[in-house]
Amino acid sequence: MRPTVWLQFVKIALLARLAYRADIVLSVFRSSLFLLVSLSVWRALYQNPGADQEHVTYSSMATYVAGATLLESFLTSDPSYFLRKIRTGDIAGDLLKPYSLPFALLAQNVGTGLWRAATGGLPVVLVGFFLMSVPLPRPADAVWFLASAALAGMLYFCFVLMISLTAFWTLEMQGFHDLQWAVLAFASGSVVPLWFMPDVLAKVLRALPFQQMGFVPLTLWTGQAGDSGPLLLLGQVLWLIPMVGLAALVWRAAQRRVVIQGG
Amino acid sequence: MATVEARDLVKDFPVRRRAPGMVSALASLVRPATEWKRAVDHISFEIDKGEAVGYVGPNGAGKSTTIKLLTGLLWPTSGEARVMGLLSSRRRTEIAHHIGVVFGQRTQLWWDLPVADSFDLLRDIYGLSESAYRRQRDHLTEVLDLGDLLSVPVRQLSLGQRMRCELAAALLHSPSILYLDEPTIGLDVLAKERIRRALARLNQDQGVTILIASHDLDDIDRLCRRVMVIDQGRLIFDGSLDRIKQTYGPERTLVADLEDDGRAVTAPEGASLIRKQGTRHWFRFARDQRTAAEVIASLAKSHHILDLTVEEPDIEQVISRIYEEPR
Amino acid sequence: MRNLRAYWRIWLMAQKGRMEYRLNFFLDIFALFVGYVGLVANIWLMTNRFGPLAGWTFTEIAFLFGTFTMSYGLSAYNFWQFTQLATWLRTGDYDRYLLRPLNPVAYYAVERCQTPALGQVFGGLAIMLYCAKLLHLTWTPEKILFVAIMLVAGSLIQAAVMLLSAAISFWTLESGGAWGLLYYPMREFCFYPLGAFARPIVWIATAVIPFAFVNYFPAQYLLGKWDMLGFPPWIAFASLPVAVVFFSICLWCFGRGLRNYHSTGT
Repeated sequence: MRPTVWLQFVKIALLARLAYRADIVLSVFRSSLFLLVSLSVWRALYQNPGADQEHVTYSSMATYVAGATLLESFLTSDPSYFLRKIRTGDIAGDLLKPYSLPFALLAQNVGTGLWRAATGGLPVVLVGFFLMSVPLPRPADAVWFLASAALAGMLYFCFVLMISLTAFWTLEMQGFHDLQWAVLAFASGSVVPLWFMPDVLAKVLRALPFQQMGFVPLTLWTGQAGDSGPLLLLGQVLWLIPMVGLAALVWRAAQRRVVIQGG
Repeated sequence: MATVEARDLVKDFPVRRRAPGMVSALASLVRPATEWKRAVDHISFEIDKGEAVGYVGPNGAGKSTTIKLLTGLLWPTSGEARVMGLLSSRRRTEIAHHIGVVFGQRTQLWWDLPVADSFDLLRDIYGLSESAYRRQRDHLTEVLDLGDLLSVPVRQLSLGQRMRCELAAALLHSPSILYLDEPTIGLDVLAKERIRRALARLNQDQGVTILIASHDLDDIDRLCRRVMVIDQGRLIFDGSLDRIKQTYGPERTLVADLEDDGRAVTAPEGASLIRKQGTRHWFRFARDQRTAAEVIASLAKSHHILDLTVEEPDIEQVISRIYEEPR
Repeated sequence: MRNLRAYWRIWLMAQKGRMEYRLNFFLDIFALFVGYVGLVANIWLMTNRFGPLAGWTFTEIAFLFGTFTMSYGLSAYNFWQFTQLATWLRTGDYDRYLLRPLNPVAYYAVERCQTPALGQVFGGLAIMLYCAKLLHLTWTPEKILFVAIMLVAGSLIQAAVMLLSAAISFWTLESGGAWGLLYYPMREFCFYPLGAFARPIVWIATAVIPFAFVNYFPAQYLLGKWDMLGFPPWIAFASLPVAVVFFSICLWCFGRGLRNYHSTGT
């Protein structure tokens, strides 16, 4: 797909969001409250003895939590896209367009994600810094984080794409999406980092792809990675490749299904 | 005491141009609306028991607003709306027992349930006695021909079928007044006819007072003897349908099938030929200058009449003439 | 009261109309369950590694959570639809509640009851009872009565917030806006023991949107904790009066909103 077309999609997604200007302040306010909850909970937890065992201080956790908010605002996707299009019958028109639908969706996601990160995630990080004593990451860490977040975003996209494509078979995707979302809520390490999990669980989760979309970028964000930045990114890429392949397969299968079923 | 009374009703709306949402709501509190649109402008009328009154006007003229004021959904900016002497804005629950409302585009039935269940529920809501309810329900079933529909879920009904059920639902509690807001909108000719016939019956046999707001002037023509015309919030005409036609539709048309004897057809005295199609001729004449009998007699002198009818002015033309009147 | 019979019949019919959506009902419950599992799992992981949170163990926190959820389910069953009122107002579908001789709040509450909310009632109850068992709570008649009152009060308070968000939506004309702002953040605070938070939060949860009376203060009595955050001990028993007052206030706000609707339409 030509880059200009790609950019058009990003632009459209951004413009669509501009209509909701006025709600941004309220939304940031709301997210800041949630940040406050998390920070207070961690501070209370850190009152306990032996809290510094893994050499992760409260300050680091505070940064971690703010980073998680930022990451979550960026990882966005509409899992019901295909379901809606199938129900209305628009899917036929979509499939006839002269570009690859998943790429178009990815482009839209990038636009939406960037917008939400800029108007939702980033302001909250700043609120945390100015009002709640949340340390900002070091610039180098922030750069590693950006690279990692981009990879995480693509990985997340593959997941959600596959889940939303189940609509082609079952005409129902909400259950799968809820399940995925719930698993991600703790398996990604976005709320409780893998350092704090019991050994067995942590081992299992390190072997699964979910941590690539939470714990890994956030480890970089908080500067806990030491020198293993490149290694962590590589880990994400190693997961990304098979996931992209899998998603492509599912997409082919879905397209075939439309042809067979006749929509 | 009039059954329905509007006394110097005024309804102003703030001109809303803000987006939905918290921020604009807060903003509007700080900067209140300075522009007001007057939807109903000092309207007064009285409707007596048993009348069937048509309420006509262009879109946005204030018809629906008037009905909402009469039913208590909206409160007047000034003036009073009374039903059976009770103020609509104050005595909502009492008035509810006396009025039935049918909105053309909205349903008051329960979507997923069979019609009969909706009716039963209304019996409970209005606290009707079992015997009174059964009697009224059976009567309405007969008048509106609902026999086959009672066990069908509302969402499976066609629009025409649903409107008949809506009408029945609105009358189950035997209200003395029935308000209708565009009841025949979207219906085909046959369905409209059934509704009109049923309404006429209900009005004539049971003495239900009817106020019907409609775009479809045939609804009014068939059902009402009195018409109120509203434009831009003001009542510009309130009188009998006949008077409207006489005042604003002074011309009538004689439609005659004439035997073709090779001669050219000339209009009789006082009339003019406006149209010809085969043997059928349309002659227009002014009612205050010639009676229909005179025109016919005059025509019969020069031509052999095979068949004829006299047409009244088209009500659409009549009403639009009223709008054009300088006020 | 004749009207009571009417409400009963309306409720019955509402159940009948919903039968077709039974599959959705189970999916909704599944979604609910799945949504909460993540939250509970995270709390467990935290307390497992660090220890008690503001002096509350995982089981005690889960008890708080279960209690809140259960009274949410009870209130949402009849009042959740109020959070979406603006949509109904815009389409004019709410008018029918104003044209019938019934109270428009009670009528809307009964007819549009939310069957999926029952999932939260049972889920919350299950969590509550299980935690109670783990904490070796003895169920005396007084305690059972207390729990009943706590749930009634808790659901009144949450229902009141739903009514309040509906009242606000008469002006904002937007479904869910006020609700999203008022409810979810406050609720998040009250999932955890209030002692973890700064004083201003504690004050808001006590005096402004009194969610503290939904689970935190009553739990003091049930769990024998008595960490009252500086409040007098009898506050553990104040849930019901607070709930009644708060509900009345929010109901009044709804009435004002309704008056605004009568005056300005939509």
